[in-house]
Amino acid sequence: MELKGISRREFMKVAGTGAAALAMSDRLLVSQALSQTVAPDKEAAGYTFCDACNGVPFCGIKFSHKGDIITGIEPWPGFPTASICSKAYGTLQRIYHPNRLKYPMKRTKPKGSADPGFVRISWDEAYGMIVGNMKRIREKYGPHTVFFYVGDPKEPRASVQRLAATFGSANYGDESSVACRKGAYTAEVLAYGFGTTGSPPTKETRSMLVWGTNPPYSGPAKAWQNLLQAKERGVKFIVVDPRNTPTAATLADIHLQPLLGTTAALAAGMMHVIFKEGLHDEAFCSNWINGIDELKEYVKTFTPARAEAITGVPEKRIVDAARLYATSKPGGMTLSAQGTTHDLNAANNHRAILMIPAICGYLDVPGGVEVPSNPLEGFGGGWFNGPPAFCMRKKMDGMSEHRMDIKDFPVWAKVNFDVQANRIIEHIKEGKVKAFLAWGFNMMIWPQTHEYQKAIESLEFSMAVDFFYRPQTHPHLDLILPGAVNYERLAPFAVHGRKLFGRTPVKPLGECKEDWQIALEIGVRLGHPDVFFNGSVEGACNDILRMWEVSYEALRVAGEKGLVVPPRNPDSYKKYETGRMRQDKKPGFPTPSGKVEAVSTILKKHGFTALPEYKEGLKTSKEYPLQLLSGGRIPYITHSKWREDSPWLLELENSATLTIHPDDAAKRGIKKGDEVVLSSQWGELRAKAKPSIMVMPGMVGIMHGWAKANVNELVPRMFDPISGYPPYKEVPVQVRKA
Amino acid sequence: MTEEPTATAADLNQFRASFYLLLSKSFSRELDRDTLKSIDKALEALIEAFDLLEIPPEENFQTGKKILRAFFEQTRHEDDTDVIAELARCYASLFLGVGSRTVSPCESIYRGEARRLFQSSHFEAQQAYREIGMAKSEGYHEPDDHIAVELGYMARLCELTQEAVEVSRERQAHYLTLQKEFLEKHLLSWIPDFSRDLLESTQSPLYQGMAHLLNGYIKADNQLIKSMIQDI
Repeated sequence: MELKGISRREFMKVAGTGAAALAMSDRLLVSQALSQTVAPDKEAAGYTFCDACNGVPFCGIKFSHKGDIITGIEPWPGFPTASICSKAYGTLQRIYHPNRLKYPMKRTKPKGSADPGFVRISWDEAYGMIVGNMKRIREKYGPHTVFFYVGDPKEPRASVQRLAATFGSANYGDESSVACRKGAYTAEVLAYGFGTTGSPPTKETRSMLVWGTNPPYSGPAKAWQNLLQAKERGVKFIVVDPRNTPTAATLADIHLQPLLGTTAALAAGMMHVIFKEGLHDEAFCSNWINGIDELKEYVKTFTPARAEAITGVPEKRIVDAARLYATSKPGGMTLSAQGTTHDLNAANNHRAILMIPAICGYLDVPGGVEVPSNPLEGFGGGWFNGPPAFCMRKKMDGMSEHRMDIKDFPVWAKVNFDVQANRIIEHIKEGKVKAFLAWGFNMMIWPQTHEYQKAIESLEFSMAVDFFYRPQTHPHLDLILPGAVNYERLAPFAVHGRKLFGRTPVKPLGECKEDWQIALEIGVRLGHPDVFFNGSVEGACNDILRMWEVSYEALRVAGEKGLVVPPRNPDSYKKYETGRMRQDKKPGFPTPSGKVEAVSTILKKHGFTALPEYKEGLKTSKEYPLQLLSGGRIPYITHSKWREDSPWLLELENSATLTIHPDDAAKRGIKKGDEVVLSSQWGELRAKAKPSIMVMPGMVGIMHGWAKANVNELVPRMFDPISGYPPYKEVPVQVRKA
Repeated sequence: MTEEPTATAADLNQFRASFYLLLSKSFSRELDRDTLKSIDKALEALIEAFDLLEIPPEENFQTGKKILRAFFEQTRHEDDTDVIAELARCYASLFLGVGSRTVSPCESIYRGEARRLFQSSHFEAQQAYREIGMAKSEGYHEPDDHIAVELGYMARLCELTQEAVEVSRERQAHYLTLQKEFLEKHLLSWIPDFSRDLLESTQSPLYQGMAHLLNGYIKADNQLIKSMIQDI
């Protein structure tokens, strides 16, 4: 290349113009003081919690980082949950995924356009939009028309409730409002007065009833290990699951495989045997069960033969299971958080299960269904619910007449502070909802998803916080905010029993903010800086930690070991006898009658079936001869997470997979890997077939959350009248080769 | 007659700094009205300068030039509000995670097997910046190996080379060598793939043109640097 011969004047005229045209300002690189010897960032250790499954286990992660960059993770040594699973390792791929949202985005094209035309805006503009719309809508339609929603992670529930309460809206809901946990919780509260899915087996446990749950696939590692160790100690296991799961195969002394939706009939059949053979705890039954005579009368009609006819479970097995459980004293239980509430008799099906350990006298005895003696004060329900004081629960209760679910689901509304959200389409049509503010929101949670997408699209304002763009949800909204992932969040701290642990977050990617911070900052801009700690997440945490006379700084200092809040009372059992179960300190269970309620006072009052009766559900037919069990977990996927968020985990199963019994597959000429069409009366999808003995003949299984094969489009908008839950696990379907 | 002064190495480096800056600004964020106008003007001037240097035509560069000239021809007289708005949508769709296919403009994505941000390329780039006493501005919320930052670094090296011309040949050679190393070890290792992905993912003539231009320029500049080192 030759510079000679090019006149400088000519060159500079051209090149110089170019240089001048480009403002030399707005430099991305700035000078760093040369005199400073800056050592390359050394690796240091930090701590956080995993949110990769349902966010409830709060497994501890110890990570290494260089400055604000995470470089590796390992289990937090000595943490109560002790180890982390493949999904936790998947969070490493998520945090630095190239598709992560980093900036607030607003739509520029009208709703209904093929492309919503999202563009970046500043946080100032985003908050302006949010607060402006909140105020305007409150002024025009009232505060209750703004709906506050927390999907997943569950971590920000407390901060968003505080925001809803301060804003003045009675309408706070969460994914539990739709499909997860609170349906079962409602049944538990109706039966026992408190929520429980059982407790881990102890040295005293002699038998375990494991119903509708597969812990090695769905629970933290320690839970499964506990069960295995119990098996080794000789504990007897009755596993109830239509599927032939690892739990059944490994643990079951007796495995019962009922048809979907027949839970209450099976439970009644077992109780029939227990009562008939005098295996129940007569003293507990007469003293502590409300409606025991009615229950005995009811289950009398469920002879093992009748139970077999309804459930498909062989008579002998029902008898053997009942005898084994009732005679191997005491018996504990492990239930699913929601699996047994995914049919049209959800609440009563789940209540029926709960009656079994009750009539055996296993409630709150050592080794039975143990109830915590010293739950951390002021923290009822953990982060799942949020601390009542911080959440301004009393204020919310005071607004309950304005809840959108109060007429449709009165029992739900009585038991739960979070609204039942499944009829939100109707509430929107009625003008009761005008805005939707969401943290971690996926419209695929709903049956007939497309109807909800349409309804929410019609709202005057909607926003969602998320880590990634969600094509099933975000195109129907006005605003998307970039959320910080677990490594980047300070709130909340972890609570395991009475032990507290803090986190040491790194700076979030791009302009991401953590969920709590967003809720607090909205609150500040609404005009309540004091209530929202001037936007300080640590300030908010300290407000809660003060209850136990500690601070976040103390958690930092305590480091790996965490801090113990000493219990105020010794552990004790049969707390219903000593007044340690009820808020008023009177002896008894925290129910209206003070007893376990086979006949539910609340259900009776509202005109519902007061006993946990069996009710026939959605029937199979010639056209739809198979039963669909959707949502059965596989270990490396949770809900709709862990598809694109972490491609590593996708390598294990990368598309919608239909599990079908080899006999049913053969009848249809279906082989492994074939594309099949799964259809119900309400919708259809395509998936890959996987013949497997995991399912029974007559039943098929598929995970939910596949955007291109959304099984919830096959589920009807029909709801259990008590809990409001849809029949995700009761839909009659047909399968054919594509 | 006094001989007309010829363009100097310093002039050339200043020109190269401008071109790298132009490319950096095209990717650093959405194009606003002023930046778009500046790019329009600068592009013409700089392409002419490139022609003056009689650098053998590089195919990608020529394609990019053609597409961009056509784009500016057409939009110069359009309502720029619409043009800016559409470009903002394209930028978001391509780089900010809301499109059907995000093209991440960060070296780590292309260099590492794991396709994640903040891999070794980020730290290597950070170290390179440190060695010339620079650091990425805290106000720019992207990784150190974001295309705009890496191109900004090349621009700075060109400026340092420009200043070095007056000082010593060794100093000049030093900065040219740093440029050559960074180009070979970093930019050339991933920009061809990034360009290809960009072309596959957008219909926007501005971004298509820039993809071609970027790809072509770094290849041509690689040759230019080699010549300049030889000339010292």
